[in-house]
Amino acid sequence: MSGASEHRPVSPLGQQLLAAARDDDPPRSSVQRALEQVDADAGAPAPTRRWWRWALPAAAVVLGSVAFAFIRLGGNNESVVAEPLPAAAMSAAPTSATTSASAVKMAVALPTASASAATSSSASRAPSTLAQRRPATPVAKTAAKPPAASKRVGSCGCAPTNLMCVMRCKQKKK
Amino acid sequence: MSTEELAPGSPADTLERAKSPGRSGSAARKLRLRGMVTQHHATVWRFLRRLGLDADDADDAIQDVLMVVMRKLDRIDPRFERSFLLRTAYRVGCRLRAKRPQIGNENLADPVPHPDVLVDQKRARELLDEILARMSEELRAVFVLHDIERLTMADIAEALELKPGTVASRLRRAREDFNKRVTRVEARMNVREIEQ
Repeated sequence: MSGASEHRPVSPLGQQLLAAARDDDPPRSSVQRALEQVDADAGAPAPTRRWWRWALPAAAVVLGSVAFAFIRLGGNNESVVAEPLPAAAMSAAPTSATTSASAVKMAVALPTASASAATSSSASRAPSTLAQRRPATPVAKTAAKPPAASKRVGSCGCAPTNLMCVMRCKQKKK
Repeated sequence: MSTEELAPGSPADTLERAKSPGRSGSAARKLRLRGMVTQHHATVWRFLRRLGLDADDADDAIQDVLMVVMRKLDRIDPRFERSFLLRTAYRVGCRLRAKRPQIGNENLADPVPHPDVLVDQKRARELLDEILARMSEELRAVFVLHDIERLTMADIAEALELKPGTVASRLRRAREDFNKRVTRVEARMNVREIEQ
């Protein structure tokens, strides 16, 4: 840095030009104009930007309403999850299932599992394979349905509409 | 620090009084603004002129600078008033220059004044402005502040919000450019002298 400041313009003409520029003083009218501007401002109150006086309460109201809406929505989700589970599901459900999402998955998965367990003893598993392949999602749609196990009839676990299965099951019993 | 402990008239005292509410605060504010104008007006005006503004535009730019100063006076550290003024003036000056057609062009021929005209200071300044107009704005600002206004590199770095190394580099390049152009002008002047 010091090396650069030591390096002066060598040309005499350059020195002459710079000296002329240093002697260039502003006209008195320019200074007077600036002072008048200062005097005109000094009487006026200083502009203040207290935008936060209204912005902070407004932001608090918005955030509060969003939080309230979120809490309300969360309460509704809890009521959906709180539907009674089948007895098999209740017995098999782990005690650590605390979150609503895992509870919903349990409610969906366990009836299918119990149905497949019921059909495992029989020779024909065809009727329950479609239900087993069906994915657990979407959760909300599946959770809204009544448990599928309550619709099963007979020891084979056939659906009431599946007449072929019911007939075959009856024949086997005989 | 209480007001009684401060030396009356010192920058810190002025700032303290400017912060205090009421009529005395308003008076201190006015006092401080007037002090800034009387102390630094010439420096800012020259800086704006050497940036390429004519006298009227420089006056207008100073009005704009003062508007900014009045708005932000409470936040300006009294130790860095000149830096703040020069920084604001640089921004305002560049903005004003951008609105006007650019003079600086490498393809333009360098000015060739008659040797006698340099006796006149006004003509010398015109020649300087013509040479400076061919330099880039960033080089010119550093060169003017250092070699005309005699600011230190630290002050220039503070005023233009640059790193000290950048200031040194720009100053070196600006001087090289300036010397090259002045040498060229001198050569043409000598040629004209011989011809006459």
